[in-house]
Amino acid sequence: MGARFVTIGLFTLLEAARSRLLWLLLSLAGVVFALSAFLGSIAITENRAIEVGVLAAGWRLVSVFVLGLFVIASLSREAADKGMELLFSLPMNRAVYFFGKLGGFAGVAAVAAVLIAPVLLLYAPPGAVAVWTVSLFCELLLVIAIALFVVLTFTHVTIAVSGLMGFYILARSIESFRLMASGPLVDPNSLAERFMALFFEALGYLLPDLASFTVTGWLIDPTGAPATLGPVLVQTAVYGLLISTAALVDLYRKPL
Amino acid sequence: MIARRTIPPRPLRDVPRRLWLLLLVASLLQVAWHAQAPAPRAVAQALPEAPPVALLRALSLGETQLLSRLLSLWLQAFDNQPGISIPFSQLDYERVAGWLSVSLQLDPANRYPLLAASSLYAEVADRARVRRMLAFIEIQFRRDPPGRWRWMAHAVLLAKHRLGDLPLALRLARQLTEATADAPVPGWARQMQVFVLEDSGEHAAAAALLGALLESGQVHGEEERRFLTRRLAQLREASGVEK
Repeated sequence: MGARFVTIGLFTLLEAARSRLLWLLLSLAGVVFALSAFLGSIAITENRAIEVGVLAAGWRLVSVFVLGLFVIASLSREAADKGMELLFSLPMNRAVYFFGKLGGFAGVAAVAAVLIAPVLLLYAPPGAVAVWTVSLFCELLLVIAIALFVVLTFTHVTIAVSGLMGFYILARSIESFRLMASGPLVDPNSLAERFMALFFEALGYLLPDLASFTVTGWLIDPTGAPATLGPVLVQTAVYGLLISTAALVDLYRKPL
Repeated sequence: MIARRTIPPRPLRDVPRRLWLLLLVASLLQVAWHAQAPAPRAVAQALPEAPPVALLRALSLGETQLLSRLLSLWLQAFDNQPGISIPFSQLDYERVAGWLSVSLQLDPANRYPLLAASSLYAEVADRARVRRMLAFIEIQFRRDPPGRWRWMAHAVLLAKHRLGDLPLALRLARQLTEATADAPVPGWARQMQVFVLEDSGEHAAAAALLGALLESGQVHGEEERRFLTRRLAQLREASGVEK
């Protein structure tokens, strides 16, 4: 069982290497770095804050986008090539396949998270960079799990990518939506506004609070970086378990 | 035509029972984690310094006109941050003026910043803040008098009625008259200087100015000419100037 898990994970890493994902990530890291340096050079004040802000926020978006697409494209191709059916015809638990894939993608996420860290050390102290990097890895793990869930559930690439992006944007902005829905501008006598407040409150239970992950401000002002990553790690474990289980339910229902 | 082939998914009972249990446990854990997390707290964000225009130009990806308008909207909505409402009187007006200025530099044809300055940010009880907005309008008017005379006229009225500062109103009105001499600006805007002078008790100066305006041939409407001539007579009478 363990050997199969490792084999699937290693083949996922091999697929990433052969599809030149590392080169793509390196190229994009160069582009983000060049853009941040350029914007920093034309700023008349707060140059370093602008550089590190653009670099960190830009890299977070790039890595989320690239990894999400890679997971969806990889599983879609495997399904189209009937590779998934071949694996399922073997005497193997489907959970081994799922967690093997998740493990392989997690390896790619680790590379993406660590790739930019040496550059960030030019701008921020090692402690803040370490906290930010671990948080980015946790965020990418959740993105991978969500991407696996949407591609196994919807199967179609366009719908899966739309679902992943919608999910990600909503998870990053749910806190603001909750505040707006219960803010001073809300009319307490309006049924529609009360319904929206309840809706966003309920949605908050279903989504991870990604706004508290990988905050760029930790690097701009390292004194604001959290002393412990406890809440980020717990949220990653809890939501990772939930979304993986939901994806597994769909995987077990796939016909063969 | 692509043939549609659908294989129904396996029944729910084919999913291992342990997995359902795990899904239930994971859902409960997520609900418990969310429930114990502190509720989001609305924290008022201070208005940051406006960034350099060159930086914004680079970030706009060539869409400076769009960015200018988006910045105007963002600034206008800044007092309504998620979950909290900040009175204008708590905003740093130096920074507000900075944002309005970069918005105008990105697109000089954007009317939003000057409208916001005269009709939004100048509508506060704090006289120092009103003066800051009037100074902003005055500077921006000098850069494009034919295009921005409306807001200068509004600034004259604000200085006169809201601040009761007739010297300031007179200074603004004088600039409005002088800078728009050759521009297609309605007569009432150019005549503001006359009425501010009259309110300041400077009847003789007002009469001289109005007389010069009538003689210049810039007043074309017959009704308007008659009205201003009557007004000139009243001013001359008040100042003791002979016809």
